[in-house]
Amino acid sequence: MKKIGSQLTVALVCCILGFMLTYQFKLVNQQGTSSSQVNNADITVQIEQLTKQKQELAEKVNSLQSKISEYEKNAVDKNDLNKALYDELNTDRMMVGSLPIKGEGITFYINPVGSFLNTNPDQPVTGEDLTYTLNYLFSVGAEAVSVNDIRVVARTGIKASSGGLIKIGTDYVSSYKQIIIRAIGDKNKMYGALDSWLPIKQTTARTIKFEKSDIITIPKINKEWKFDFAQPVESK
Amino acid sequence: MIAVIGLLLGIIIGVLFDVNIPRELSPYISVAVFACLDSVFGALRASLSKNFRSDIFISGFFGNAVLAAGLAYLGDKLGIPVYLAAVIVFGGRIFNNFAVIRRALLEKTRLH
Repeated sequence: MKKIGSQLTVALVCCILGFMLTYQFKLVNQQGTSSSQVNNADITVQIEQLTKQKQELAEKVNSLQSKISEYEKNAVDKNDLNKALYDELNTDRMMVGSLPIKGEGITFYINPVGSFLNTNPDQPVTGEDLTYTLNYLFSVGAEAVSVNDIRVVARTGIKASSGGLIKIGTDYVSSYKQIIIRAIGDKNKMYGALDSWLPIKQTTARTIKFEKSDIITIPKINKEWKFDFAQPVESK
Repeated sequence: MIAVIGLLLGIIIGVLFDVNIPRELSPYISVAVFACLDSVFGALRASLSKNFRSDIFISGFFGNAVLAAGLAYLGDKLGIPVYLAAVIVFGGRIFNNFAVIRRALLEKTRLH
């Protein structure tokens, strides 16, 4: 009897082993072979090279832009028409994110809640959550917004990416790390609007906090906008 | 024989049923599976040398699996690939056991 019991126990243990082996094979096959063949060292080197290139190009752009500002200021000093054009140009630049701007506003924090085994299946923030929040801030008077110091303008697309990342324009934020949304506008109006209704709610996966700020700085977008398909309608 | 039947049954269950284990645990399960294979090879070796004990096999099976998974998890949190230690140690033991099993089987066939 004892022998049969031990044999059954061995059979059960082998059954568990067989199940675990099959489960693991299925999981690895589902993930595909492409990700396992990626060489991490190559990717790290590529990322470093591209980051360095980006820095050099950004420095070049900044120096050219400061030259342009100098020429514009010289032209503005000459007459009032130029000054009016310059002011309108600056407004348009602020709209498309070509100028860094500052002002009062509110800072909105979304903090993911960590768990011991990090097995919380809920993604703390989705692309839709961010889009909804930014849309709400614009609707309650935000003049400019940024997400983790990434400027968001009318043509900045927000969408979910793999691995819990959210793509904002050409940059990425992780939904598993703190997300800070800064909005410049009437701080009292925006704070009151958020206090009465939150666009995204606190859940088990995230906590929400927001506060008024006297000075918020939002960086510019390092991108040249162009229109390949859209053309202006000629006025009759 | 009964072990093989149990193994086949486990494989069939694994193929037919879709069990949802969180993907974050997958690296730890793979190390645990490796530790379990070591126990199985040890059991095969013990049964060929006629000193197999099921209590030692079962405690080794689950104990090694839990320890290997626990070390892999700890290594993840410390930023050290501790799972490599489990892979090297269990891999070495599997090959050692396999060598003994191979010799025992060859001795058996020679005596017959």
